[in-house]
Amino acid sequence: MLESDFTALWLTIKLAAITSIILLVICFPFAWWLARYQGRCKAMLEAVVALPLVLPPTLLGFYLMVVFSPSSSLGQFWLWLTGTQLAFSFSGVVLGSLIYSLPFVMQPLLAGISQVNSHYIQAAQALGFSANKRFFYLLIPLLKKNMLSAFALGFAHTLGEFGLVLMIGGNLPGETQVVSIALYDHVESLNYTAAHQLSLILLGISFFCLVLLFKFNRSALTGRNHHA
Amino acid sequence: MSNIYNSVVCTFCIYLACFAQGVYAKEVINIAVASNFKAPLQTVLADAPFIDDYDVKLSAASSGILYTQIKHGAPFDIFLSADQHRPTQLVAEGLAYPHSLATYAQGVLALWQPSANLPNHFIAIANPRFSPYGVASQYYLNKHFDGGYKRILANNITQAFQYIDSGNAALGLVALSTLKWAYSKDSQVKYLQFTELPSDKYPKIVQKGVILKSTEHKRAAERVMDHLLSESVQQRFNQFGYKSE
Repeated sequence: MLESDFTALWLTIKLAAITSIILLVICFPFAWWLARYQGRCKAMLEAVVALPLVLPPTLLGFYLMVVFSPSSSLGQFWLWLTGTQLAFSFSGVVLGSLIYSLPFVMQPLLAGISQVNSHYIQAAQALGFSANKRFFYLLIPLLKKNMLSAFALGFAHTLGEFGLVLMIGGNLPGETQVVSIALYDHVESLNYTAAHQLSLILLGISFFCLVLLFKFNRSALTGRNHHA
Repeated sequence: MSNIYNSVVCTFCIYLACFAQGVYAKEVINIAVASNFKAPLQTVLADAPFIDDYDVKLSAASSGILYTQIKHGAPFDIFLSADQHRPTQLVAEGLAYPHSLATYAQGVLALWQPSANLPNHFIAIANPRFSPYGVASQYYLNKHFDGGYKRILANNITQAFQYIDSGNAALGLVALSTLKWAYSKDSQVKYLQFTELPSDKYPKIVQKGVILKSTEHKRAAERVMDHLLSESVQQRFNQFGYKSE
């Protein structure tokens, strides 16, 4: 296996981990709110959350590239925020992945939260638990499995990300050249041996992730939560 | 009454038969074409002399993907690659007719910098690992261009163009044909802010095509190839920003 492949592999794992952690932090309060929200925009909001499931990632990448171009005001804002322009940078790929993997983190959280029995919350309130305490001592333990599923699904989905990075990445080793891009490079340059090796490793990692997920988290994935 | 009915039905059937014949008698020619050549190919095929005889279908993708598909039995009759390596390899592997191997176009490189004030220090080129435009671009940059820019490797020569067009890369090496195509679409001045690179300053970008042995329409495929190599069509390719051999 080539050294550049190791770099790509490590970069991909880093990207997947960062993306799923950020998503978990962002999605938790949002899912909590959305699960309770009963207003007329609920279906619309749920649709927005699910959109990245349906839209082609290349489309997402293309518009990110256009909207965040350095000459645009959004592009300027991004430059100010991260110090690099969106295209051809790791932070740009992270932003893309956040959108791309959003539904995979949201769905398990939404499913879990909507199944939390409101009697527990009321009981905790009656016992005088503060909001903070309720969150850490009640919600987190109740939703631990769902959070793990959310993380694992977000992680696994980001591992296989391709179209988006192909659009905005620019193929920079150690920065934006993730495994799927490295694989594509191998196939395009007819270097099939390297492609096979890398695919095998990627297959192994993905399989391992999913086995862990299914082994320890069956109920959270299928939505059959008996604890709540 | 029934006579009239019969004759109406009969006429209808004859028309139907003629119409069906007209549609289905057309030989279908499947051309696998490198994405960057799809537009010029469509243009010259639109008024080709055989357009009434054949139903020409184009499948555009990157040459690497097309090559892989052909190796695994994709039903193409002609393969127009963006390089010379893959068609030659298909001949060597016994999957294409050696006599049909021909250069149908040569790419021309241009240095494109749409705006005088640089938004960043990125220079976009096609990936030299698999794009012949990329190989030529890399050679040119290494030998004749030292600007201290950071190289961005685009997936293909069209993406190099898009990186610059969207303002994400300050400048880059693109295909003259892409610039001309973009200018013909919407006559923006920025598509004219390029310098055509002298052809002796970079290795030739040879685009070759072959007829595949799996074809069941060899004669038709040969006719299409001959047409593409004819002088008049080659001249039109020149106008699109390619060079004939």
